[in-house]
Amino acid sequence: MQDISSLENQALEKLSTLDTLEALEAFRIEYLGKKGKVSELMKALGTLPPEERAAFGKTLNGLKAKLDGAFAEKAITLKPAQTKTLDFTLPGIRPQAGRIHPLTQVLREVLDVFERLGFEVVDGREIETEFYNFTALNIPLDHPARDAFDTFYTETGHLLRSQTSTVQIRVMESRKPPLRIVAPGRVYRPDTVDATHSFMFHQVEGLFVDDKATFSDLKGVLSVFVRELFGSKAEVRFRPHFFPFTEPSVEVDVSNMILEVKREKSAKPKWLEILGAGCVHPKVFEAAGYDPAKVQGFAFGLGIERIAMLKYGIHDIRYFYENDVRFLRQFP
Amino acid sequence: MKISTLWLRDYVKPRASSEELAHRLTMAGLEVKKIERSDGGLVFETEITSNRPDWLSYLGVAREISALYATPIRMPKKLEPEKLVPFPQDFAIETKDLDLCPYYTGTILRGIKPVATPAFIKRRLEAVGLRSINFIVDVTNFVMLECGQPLHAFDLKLLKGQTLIIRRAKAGESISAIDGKVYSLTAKDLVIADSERPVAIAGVMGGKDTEVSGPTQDIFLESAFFSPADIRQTSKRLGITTDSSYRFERRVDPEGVSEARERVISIILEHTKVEEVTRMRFTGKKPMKQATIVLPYEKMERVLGISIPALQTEKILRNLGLGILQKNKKLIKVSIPTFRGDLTRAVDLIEEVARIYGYSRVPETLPSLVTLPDALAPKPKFQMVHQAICRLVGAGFWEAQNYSIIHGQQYESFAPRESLVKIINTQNKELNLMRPSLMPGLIETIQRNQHRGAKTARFFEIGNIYLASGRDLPKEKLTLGLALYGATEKGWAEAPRSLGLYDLKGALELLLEFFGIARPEWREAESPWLEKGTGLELIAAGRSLGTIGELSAELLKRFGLELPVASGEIDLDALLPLVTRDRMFKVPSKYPIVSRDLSLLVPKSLSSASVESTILQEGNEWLQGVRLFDVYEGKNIREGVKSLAFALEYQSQARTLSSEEVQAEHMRIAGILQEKYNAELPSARENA
Repeated sequence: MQDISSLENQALEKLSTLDTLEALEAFRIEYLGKKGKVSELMKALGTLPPEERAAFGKTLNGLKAKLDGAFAEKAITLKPAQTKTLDFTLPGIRPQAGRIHPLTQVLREVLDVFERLGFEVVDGREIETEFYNFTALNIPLDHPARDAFDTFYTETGHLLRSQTSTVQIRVMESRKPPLRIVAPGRVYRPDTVDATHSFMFHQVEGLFVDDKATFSDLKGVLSVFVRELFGSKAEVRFRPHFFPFTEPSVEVDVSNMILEVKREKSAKPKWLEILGAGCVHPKVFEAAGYDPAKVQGFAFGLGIERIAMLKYGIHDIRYFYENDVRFLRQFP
Repeated sequence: MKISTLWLRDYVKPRASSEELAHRLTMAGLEVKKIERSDGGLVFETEITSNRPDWLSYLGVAREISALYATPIRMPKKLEPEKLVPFPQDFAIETKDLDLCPYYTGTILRGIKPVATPAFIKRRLEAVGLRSINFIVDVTNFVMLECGQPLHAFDLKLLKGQTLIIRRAKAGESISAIDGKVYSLTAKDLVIADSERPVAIAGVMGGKDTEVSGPTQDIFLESAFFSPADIRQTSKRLGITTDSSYRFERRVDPEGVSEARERVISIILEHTKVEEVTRMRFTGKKPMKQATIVLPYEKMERVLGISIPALQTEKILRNLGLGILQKNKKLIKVSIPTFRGDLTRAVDLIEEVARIYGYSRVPETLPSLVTLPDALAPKPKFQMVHQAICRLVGAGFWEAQNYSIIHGQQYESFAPRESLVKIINTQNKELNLMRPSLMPGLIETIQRNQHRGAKTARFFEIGNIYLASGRDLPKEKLTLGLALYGATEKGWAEAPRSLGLYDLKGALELLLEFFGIARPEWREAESPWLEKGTGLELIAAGRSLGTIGELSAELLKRFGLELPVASGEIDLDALLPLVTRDRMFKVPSKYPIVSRDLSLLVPKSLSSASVESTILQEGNEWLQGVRLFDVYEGKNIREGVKSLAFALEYQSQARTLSSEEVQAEHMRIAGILQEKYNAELPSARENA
């Protein structure tokens, strides 16, 4: 029976001369396999007198560990280099993800800003009565102001709301002030359909009512909104206008320097109108059951399609309702 | 309205270029939309809001410029006739309806020497797009544009019976108007009539038979105040809008009625000889409005958020033409001129002061926000919609948005007759139905995409459908629509797979699982737009939530769809109360799972769901899951029979299960199935 240290030297020497995987495998069988030399020594352990077993066993284990380690190292150096090649330019296998409609995306963005400004999102019906769409908003039947809010009528004498302020009136009727709400939704106007007009579009209207909301607050809130949506460099201007339900009234324009609008060089306005707003008219408060002497507020409205068209450089509103995948694909 | 700057500068000369002027006016609320060059000058195209009829005239715009630049207006000169003869006694003017025409005035001019329209009047008219017609008509148009009061001249010799009556039209009456058309009139329309027939649609358009022409020498010159609401009604009913009706509709200045008439006479006298000018005859009286408003400074500050100095406030109001009646530290009281019918209360004055002062001078502040308990309540509907969108997009669906108003005739069949909500005043006569279903819009979307070459698409839409409710407001139901066609794309790493009904079913099952509805029930159903035998109704908590299936061959043909379409609709309002995000955590077992497959041959008509639920029911607490992974019918299996293969997973919470005990349990289940369904078990073997 060979002694352990000479076996160790023999094995390590042999190992260092190997240069093929086959030879390495032969070495393994000869020394480290089930019937190999180390194994034989292990079996021989039983033939030793008891008082010698412990020491022998310990040395044998040491040998085994050393040879295992040296073997592993040799195996690594003999293993051939990686030859597998991949074409990394192959396209990734994309999971089939869907798309959120760009109008929904822009609506979400707009509502997000107003929610952060403290407004609550409310909802309401689209088909309404004369009262909520006109009377309560101080738009008398026989006044030319009505032309701007012309609307569709159903067989039952109801109408399709021309603005979502109808929802605001309903909320005012059912709640006491103070109030901060935004009402998104579809609105309808009998416009001839062309590149910038549609008989149906999406609006967001907001209402802020407490005992002291001012015109300067209106300016502040809407300026924050415009900058959140169009970037901190966006300029805003407030231009006097007229709405039957607000006084003073404004239209809010944003400068198009910021907007990457793809327009022909010839038609390049500096200011683009995006919001209508104003201090709530006392008559509107009265119609909703609030005391105009005790409350003050401001309201505003914007069109989602318009914002989306400005943001993305879409020149024709009709694209939104065609749902052509070549259009939708562009808004991941 | 178009404003020629050359003409405008006859009345006011602000120290500003035309471009600056346009900007300043716009920023004061008088919007200049476009600037064009016309005949030696610039023309502003203005858009005037309906509350400022006083801006529909050069003097009105001049007044505004005067207020903005604190520069005086040059009022047009008025030539007085040397002598006025009395209005003829035998010529009667009578107003039968004072509410429709509160104030009517007229003068007769005789022996006007015909003359060509002076060049400057012609130029002025043409600069703003009006045609020169003849001297007298041109003068009336000129004055209308100058001061905002429409006037009309009748050829006196063509009037019958020496009388003018301002009355409602009689049923059956009609008039041949100066635009060449004949209009049928009703008792709602006000007319100016002579003894025989209407000679003008009051305030809207004159009649052809009495119109003034080049040779006319004797005229009746009318200037009146007509009721805005009634002019508007007639104008809309007859479909006529003129410069005249436009101004009456918005309310003219009662004081301007006579001013304008005298101005016309003055210009005529300036340019030709007139033998006789009568005094005016009038009926009714000037409709005057409330004339004073009190503006407390504290209120202005409270509304605007800044304090505008009293001195400045006073100056602005004065420059606008308002009279200062009283002023002190606390308030200012003003008299409202007759051309500002839009000013009726304190907030109106606050707007005037602020816009002239400059909105840009009001700072931007943020309001203080108090906590609103009402606003804190959760919004389950919004959450459900948002989550549904996210889940469906994640499952590969693209969101569509379709019109709410659809083609009535084409799509009436999508709902029972009495549920249809029809629109009565559509411009496009065909789009007259509020959608009772999302299917039409989705089918059209699919059609459009298929025809444009898209080989595959998966769409969903979440929106309202509208169903009539007798005479009450229609019901608006939140609905989810789905539609798909085509196959998954072929890629370098995967083969394409056809998309169909089961993709819809899977997406819905995924969505329902998210909403806490783990085991929805599917039942066979029929629907007029689905192919027979492919309809599936979704039931949860005992209520029907909607139907999905394959579009019928007939619909495919009707829409020219080459590729078959699977689609369906789910009632989200019905789903909402069932939605729950409650979950109870279960500790996962640390002991290994043992899988066993179970194949059986069953009658074709037997639903896989019933077999699956029997397995779940009969299995003991070790059974963690059952999954159908193969269905086979056809070759190698005899008629009327199909093979189902399930993968079952066994696991105990307490210990490792032995192979033998799992096998025994598995065989027990197999035995039950065999008996219950008369199933054949070709193998109930261990998973490889």
